[in-house]
Amino acid sequence: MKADRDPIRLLLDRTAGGPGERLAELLAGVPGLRLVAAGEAADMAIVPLPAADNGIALTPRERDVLTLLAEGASNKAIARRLGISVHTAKFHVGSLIDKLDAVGRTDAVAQAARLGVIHL
Amino acid sequence: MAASVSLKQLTELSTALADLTAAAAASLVSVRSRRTRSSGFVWQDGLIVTADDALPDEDDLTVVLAGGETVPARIAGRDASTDIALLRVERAGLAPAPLATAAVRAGSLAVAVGCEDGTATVAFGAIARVAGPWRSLRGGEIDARIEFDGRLRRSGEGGLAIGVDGAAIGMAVFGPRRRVLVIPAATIARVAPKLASDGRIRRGYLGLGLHTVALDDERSAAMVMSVDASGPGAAAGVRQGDIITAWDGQPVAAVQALLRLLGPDSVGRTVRLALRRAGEPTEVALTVAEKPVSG
Repeated sequence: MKADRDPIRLLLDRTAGGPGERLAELLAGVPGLRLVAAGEAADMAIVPLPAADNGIALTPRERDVLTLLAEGASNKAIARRLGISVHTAKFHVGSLIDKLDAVGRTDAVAQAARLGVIHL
Repeated sequence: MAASVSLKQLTELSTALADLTAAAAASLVSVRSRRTRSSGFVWQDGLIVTADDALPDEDDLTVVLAGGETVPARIAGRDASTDIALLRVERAGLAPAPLATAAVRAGSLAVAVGCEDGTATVAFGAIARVAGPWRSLRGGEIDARIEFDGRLRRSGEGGLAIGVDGAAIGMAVFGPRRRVLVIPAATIARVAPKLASDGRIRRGYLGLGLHTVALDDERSAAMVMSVDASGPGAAAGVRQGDIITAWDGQPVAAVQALLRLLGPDSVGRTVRLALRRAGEPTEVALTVAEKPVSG
């Protein structure tokens, strides 16, 4: 079937210095694959995950908690701001600490500042 | 190797550890609320230091002293950023725990002594890691990263990690994955007096919502995303969209640089903020306020 031999048009986010740029170098010249730029017709796309550059996958709730932690909020303050129980706030804080520790990035402020707005 | 450990040496070690525990126990207390059980220790007469994270919201606490006497306690101050809370008890003649002044070394043996209903609880282990100063998730400055490899029971949180010389290395608390961290004696010595006098650790406040942005010349800075209309930033004339590039001449490369500058001593100070507004440099004088207490 001829259709099978048409090259697959792959759209890559090729932001300079990003993983897409490196991936484009690796995939250049691979038979049956044509890398296309943004705006061109494509069959598939590879885009970075929102938090992929952190190496940490956070839930939306954990992001909220992270921002408040970065502002120095206590568990009680986090609970009140997010409308959850102190127990639940503590649970989220614990899981965030574990996740950040697992990748050796325990500076919540640095992480939060990359993800959103910190009120100081 | 000729050397082997004799029963006599083991007995001596065992006795020494038991003696160490007994000596420390006089300064340890259990901290109780309706729902929580943790430990604490006498910092000064009438003042108990305990782990903030283990304390409940409500100020309905009792403390069981060594020997079993129960006394009411109230929270004199708490600081979530260093996990240190201070309780006041109307009871004189309590023996303060001796806090270590020498630096602890990795590999040293230590006991973590807590208290349950007036009797000591003990975890035995080694100091597993000692590293330099670190910043807690909430921005607290902790004088050294000290980890203990013993198994601390829940109620032992807020008790003391004690070296074989009998001096307290610091307060035993839970870190990531329930690993035991030690809040160093030096941090307690710095924070507890402020909690005794002010009830809190003051933090500076700008009244600005900030986000780290890259500048066109490969530097980075902190962009003002929102302005608290009644905050010090608004009063100084900072506007949404301004980019803060320096604080008193010191470059600000990221939001966390500002957080570091907003320590207890910043409150009330007037600083020169260098801004980039619509691409043009400008400057404002901002008087740092105290961050409102948020529970």
